[in-house]
Amino acid sequence: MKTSNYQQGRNIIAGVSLVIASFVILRTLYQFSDYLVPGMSYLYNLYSGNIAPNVITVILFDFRGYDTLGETFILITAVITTTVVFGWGSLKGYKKKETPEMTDQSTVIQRLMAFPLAIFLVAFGVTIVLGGHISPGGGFPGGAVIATGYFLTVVIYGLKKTPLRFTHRYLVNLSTIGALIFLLTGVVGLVFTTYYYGTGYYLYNTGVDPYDIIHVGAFGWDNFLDYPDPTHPGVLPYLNIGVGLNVLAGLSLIAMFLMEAKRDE
Amino acid sequence: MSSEVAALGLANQWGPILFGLIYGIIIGYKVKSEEINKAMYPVILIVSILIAAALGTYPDYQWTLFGHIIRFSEAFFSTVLGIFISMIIRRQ
Repeated sequence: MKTSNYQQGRNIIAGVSLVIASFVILRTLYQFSDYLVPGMSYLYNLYSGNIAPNVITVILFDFRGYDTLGETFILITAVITTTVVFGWGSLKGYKKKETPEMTDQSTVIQRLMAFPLAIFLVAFGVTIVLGGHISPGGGFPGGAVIATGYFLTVVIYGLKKTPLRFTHRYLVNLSTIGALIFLLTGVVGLVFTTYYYGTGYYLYNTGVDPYDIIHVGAFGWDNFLDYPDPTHPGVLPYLNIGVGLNVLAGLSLIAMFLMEAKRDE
Repeated sequence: MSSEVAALGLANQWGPILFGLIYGIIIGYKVKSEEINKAMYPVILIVSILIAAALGTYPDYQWTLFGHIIRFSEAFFSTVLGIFISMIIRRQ
């Protein structure tokens, strides 16, 4: 089978990415025993409060940074599984026909209130995402609240008439961008610490401008790219933003595939 | 934390406003406004202002104006604004 130039280019990029990722993982595993210094955890507990603004983010993004990364990819795996189990019918063109009874079951009050409520849920979800580094919120609960807004409109108006008309491709792109934000932010920390300290430390909080390149100082900001926050949490809000995008897109995709699933006849 | 931050004068709310707008534009880009009653828009805006005022400074960002703290959730309101901006861009 002859592949087009576009497909060949994609394969080459995928191959190079795989080689780089494998090298980084193998190198980290090879030197893993060097990182385990006795007494280090005691010292780390003393200084962890200086790395992240509060104990929630220390635990979520520092002690359990890998765990959060894993959760992000568990969600992607869940979406893939749902797609394989329920979504193949929609991919094959067997879209379930929405009978008038399905969407007409909702009452006038539901139809009137669903869209404004969805807008408010989306806005509240974003508020939770943006406060994740200083309050018990974050990307996961915030993204789930945003996806709830989508569920509401889909259930009330039906998949074809919903005002929030996401497409498969749009949600897949959002989910991928969210996961990549988290992944690449972690890789930046890994590269930074490997280069300067010789200890590869994934998800190291480098701050947003470690080289002080873009020092503007306008509006009283210390740094133009710094998330303007009194606690100066560095990269943590951006991690939350990435996780939020991933979760909202992933859960919305699952809802979409479940709605599109062809009833087993 | 809110009162401490206000006392220190360190509160800065531009981050939530900026990223709320970005999130709102991303999500609002896929809103189909044809089937929505136009009378809903001013109602949504007014109610969102009320909700943002009810949320207060959550999540701990404050706008200080002439020495007074404006207890208003900028992230919430800027997301609603972002959705409307995206809908306007989409229609043009």
